[in-house]
Amino acid sequence: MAVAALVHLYIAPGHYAHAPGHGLFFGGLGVAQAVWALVYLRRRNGTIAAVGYALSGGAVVVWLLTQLAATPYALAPEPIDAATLVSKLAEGIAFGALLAASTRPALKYTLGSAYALLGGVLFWGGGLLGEQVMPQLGHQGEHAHAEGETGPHSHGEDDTHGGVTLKTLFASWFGPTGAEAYDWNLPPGFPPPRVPKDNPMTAAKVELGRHLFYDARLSGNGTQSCASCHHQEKAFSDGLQLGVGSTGEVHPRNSMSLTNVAYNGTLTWANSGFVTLERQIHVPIFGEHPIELGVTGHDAEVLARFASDPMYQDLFAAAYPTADDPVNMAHIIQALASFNRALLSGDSPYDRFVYQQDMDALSESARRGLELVLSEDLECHHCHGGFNFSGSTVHANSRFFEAPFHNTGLYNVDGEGAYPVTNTGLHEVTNDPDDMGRFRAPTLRNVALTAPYMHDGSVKTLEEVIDFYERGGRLIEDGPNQGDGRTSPFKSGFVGGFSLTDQERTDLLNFLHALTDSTFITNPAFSNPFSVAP
Amino acid sequence: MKRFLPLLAVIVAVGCAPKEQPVTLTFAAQIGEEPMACGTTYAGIGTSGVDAQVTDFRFYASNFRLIDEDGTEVPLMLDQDGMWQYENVALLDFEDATADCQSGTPEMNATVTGIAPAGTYTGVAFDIGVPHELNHLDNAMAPSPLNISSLFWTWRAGYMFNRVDMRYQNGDEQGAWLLHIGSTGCESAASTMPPSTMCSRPNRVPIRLTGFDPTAQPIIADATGLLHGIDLTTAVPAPPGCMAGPNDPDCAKMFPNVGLSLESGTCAGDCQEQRYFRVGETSETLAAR
Repeated sequence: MAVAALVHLYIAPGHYAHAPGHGLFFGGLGVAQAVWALVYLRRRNGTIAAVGYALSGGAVVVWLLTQLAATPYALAPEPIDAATLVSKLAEGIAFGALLAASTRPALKYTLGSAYALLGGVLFWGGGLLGEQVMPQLGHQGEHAHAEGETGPHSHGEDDTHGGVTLKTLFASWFGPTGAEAYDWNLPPGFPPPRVPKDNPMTAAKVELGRHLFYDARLSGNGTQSCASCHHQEKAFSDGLQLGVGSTGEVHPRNSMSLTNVAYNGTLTWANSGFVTLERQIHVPIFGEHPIELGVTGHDAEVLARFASDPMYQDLFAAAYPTADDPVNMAHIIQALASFNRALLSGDSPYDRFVYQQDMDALSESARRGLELVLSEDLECHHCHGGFNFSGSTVHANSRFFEAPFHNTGLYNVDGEGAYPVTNTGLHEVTNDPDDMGRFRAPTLRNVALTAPYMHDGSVKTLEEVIDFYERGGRLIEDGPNQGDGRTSPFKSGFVGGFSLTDQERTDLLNFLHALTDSTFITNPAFSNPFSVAP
Repeated sequence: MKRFLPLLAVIVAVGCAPKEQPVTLTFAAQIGEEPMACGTTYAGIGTSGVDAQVTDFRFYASNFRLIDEDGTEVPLMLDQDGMWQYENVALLDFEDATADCQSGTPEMNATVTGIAPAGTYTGVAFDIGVPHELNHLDNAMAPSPLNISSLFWTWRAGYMFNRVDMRYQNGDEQGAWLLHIGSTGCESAASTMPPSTMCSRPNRVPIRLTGFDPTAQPIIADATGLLHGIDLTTAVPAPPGCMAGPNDPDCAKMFPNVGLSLESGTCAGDCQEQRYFRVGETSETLAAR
């Protein structure tokens, strides 16, 4: 029996890797057999013998059942091979020996067999039942829990892939072992954001990131911080047509709102490669074309500013308690990413209407506007859909990567759909002609706060945005960008134009304004921590 | 004798335990005889014979049953893989988000896997659609594959059961033809609230294919069948194509192609008159002919 215990324990991890149900079964059987063997060495009576019959004979019965009928948690009955045949024969002999050693020879064979059968069928039936109740323990050779994984993995690696394992279960039962678990304060209806494995959220990192975000010492010349182009009262946009960097250089793009960036399938207006904030944040810090914060060439100087400041020494030490020398660029980027990820906005009148059942949160007009946004006449929701009003949305429970880019017919400078050469969208990254003028649909949340609109800030007001989509593309009658975007061959099929009455236009605007989250733009946790600029 | 009762019970239980077999159904998306792929231009599409690309090709299928020679249906219990299959719903996905398939996802799936009682089957039946009880979930919180935003309309209307989008080129003229089938006539106080009663036009498409080995031969979803009698260039906007609107003239032309009545949202006639799905050939069955 002790030998059987060792064998079962030995094979358990391998089975767990492809079907956790099997691994748990073998592990449990092995432990039970080992414990029984120890007990049997010290004490022998009828009860202990009966348990022994069930554990040894039962294992043989389970094996037979899995060969002849169905195997719980597996795709097909187990194949018969020499190793299992020999081991089961050995187990059967042990079972026989146990019976022979019984002190009640008269009934020992029938009763012993009955116990064995009972034990086996109970195990097997329990497995079949468990398969229905807990299907996630089933056979999944390779699978993935989250998008962005480099490849599928087996169950043996579940704990590092966001899956549920004994390890993560114990962690959830007995509380976090290392860093304090981060409280997202998730708005109702919001799924948890996806977080890179190597940068888990902590309150200390978010707080460090918040200080860095508002600190102009994070630019090469000490004149700009992230907040220079991302103002909280404008939902972290800046109201300018185009961003202006620390050296005065004008960015070709409009500064984007940071509302719910944690959920963006990709970051920035049009870059399919920016799938994490950690990667994207390199651009404003180090980018030279154009220069934004302009840290390149000033790295040591910038780090020294923080390393010599006692307040930052404390903030870095709290965020990275095990690091000997925590002030470095990697940690700055991680902390900024954590703060950005924390910028959740879900307390608009729309949210109160939908998720808090407050029927008075939206006016009658705004409710009609909501229906227009979701209608097949306007088609807004095909690109601005979902809880975050953006088709480019991923979260912790996403299994599919949704990160579309669309051409809305904003330009057609050559009659063949071209955008102005300095700003061609996804095409700049991929060089694929089909990607001309394709940009990510940003969230509509807080859209009333983020004028001017479009990637180049070329549409000043929400009214003009609606006019543009109503026409089904923009007509530029003269100047270098002259052309009719409506006839662009690259334009999305959903930008077909529509016709609104004055009342409908008002309704639509009222709804867009009802997406403004005043809690978000006044939340002290997201605000400037410095009363006086450092 | 009492002592042997457990033993007897065990023997009965073992004897009655139904034998099961794993089943894989294989689907293929085609444009006529050509396999569907993003970025490929197909000639002669629709009654006006234009050049067209397929920009999305996905559908939810549910309620799978295998049919034996006697016509008896047995349920196919789908594997719960945490991604493509949930309860009795599976997502079939033939686009890879490349080229003009911008609304899609890189992930693709052409199979449905599950367990059925052991037996010999000569047919398969399923519905294109999501069952009512799963059709009006909160898309953000729903389990995969019911949490894909590009296949969801609203709480009220539920999911797009079938999404086949195309764009065509006709000389200098270009345009889109979009087909989204889902339930209509669903009633709730706002689109953001699920209906409290069944939708008046469920628009689930029942498909029944017989006379073949469903475990060996592929099931073809043919977009040209959807477009039978349809001229892509004369679609009535908005939308260009059919989004299941009961008054959309484009839907009036398309619905008969899937065997549905646009008016009732249920079978037109016996539901057998559809042009979308057919049984495909394997190299063996081709050779046998």
